[in-house]
Amino acid sequence: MNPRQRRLIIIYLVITAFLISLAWTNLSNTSASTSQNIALGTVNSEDQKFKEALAMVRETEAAGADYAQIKDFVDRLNLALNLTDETEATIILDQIKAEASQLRDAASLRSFYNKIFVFAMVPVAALITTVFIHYIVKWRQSKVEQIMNMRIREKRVAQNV
Amino acid sequence: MSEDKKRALVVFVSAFMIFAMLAYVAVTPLPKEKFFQLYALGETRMAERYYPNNNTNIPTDTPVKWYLGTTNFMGSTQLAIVRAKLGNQTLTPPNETIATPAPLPTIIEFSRVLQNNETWEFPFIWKIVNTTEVGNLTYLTLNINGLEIHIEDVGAKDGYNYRLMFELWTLDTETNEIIFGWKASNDRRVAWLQLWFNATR
Repeated sequence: MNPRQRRLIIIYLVITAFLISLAWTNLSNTSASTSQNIALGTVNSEDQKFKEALAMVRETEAAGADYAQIKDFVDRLNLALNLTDETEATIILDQIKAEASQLRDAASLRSFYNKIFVFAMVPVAALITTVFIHYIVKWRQSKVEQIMNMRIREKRVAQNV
Repeated sequence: MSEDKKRALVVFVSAFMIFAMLAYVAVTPLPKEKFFQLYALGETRMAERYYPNNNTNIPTDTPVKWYLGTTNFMGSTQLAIVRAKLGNQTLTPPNETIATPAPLPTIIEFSRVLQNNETWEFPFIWKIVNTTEVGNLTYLTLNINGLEIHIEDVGAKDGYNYRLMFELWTLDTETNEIIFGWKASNDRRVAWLQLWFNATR
């Protein structure tokens, strides 16, 4: 590997690292605003449990969980709202909290990898575009050269034998 | 640097900037207006026939069927609470400017957690079970969705100009309190509606 190629690879790696750091910043901002939104105060215990479960579901949603997964949590939250048996409602809310917490972490990680992938593809796409345009230009130049190198020749008349 | 390399560098930098911008747009959600919608429909589930025979004079034991609905356009899962209140002509309705609810007791409330873009519609079937007259004021006992409620606080002169008010309340995640209306960015918005009727014998 010659020094020029090495320099190009270093530049490429620096650009990729910069884009990954951009993706990281983007993700950190999302997490901060979500956690600010779910700052909870103190209310009576039953309501508090419900609010905590709802807040956890909202966090999971913000982390990028699927619509169907959130729908399942919402259905169970509504079930807990309509139950008259407090013990049963508490069990459901605790389950929602635990499951939503796990799902939030998984969804958050998945969103993070998606962002990393998208930003990492930027230099790759730019490189492919550059190579493509380079060869297009080369091809066009060769066509022009081909035309420029043509010679004018006298047209041969067919002779009758 | 040769002409080819200069051109390749310019193309790479330009393509890089364009793709970086596209990547940023792809991963950043677009800001949207956040709001709730609250509506009431008549017995045909349309904005018509709110009263039996289109007559706002409601006799005792005559069922009135409405559908109440709310849609969440807040961009996230929300708790929606619809509170029904009985008012008369003189009592203060909710104030949209300062976002205060009607200073009246809630006679019944309905709550549900809604996903983004989800609509929740439910029947509100009511009838006047009994009227009590104290002086020239008439007080009502209502049956709402099978639940009998005697309203002692609100009377109307000769039973005229009652109004059922519906207010939308939500859970404010910043303060963890149930608030009238909702917060969108730094703004406070409210949604409420009212339907008038007369209680006749």
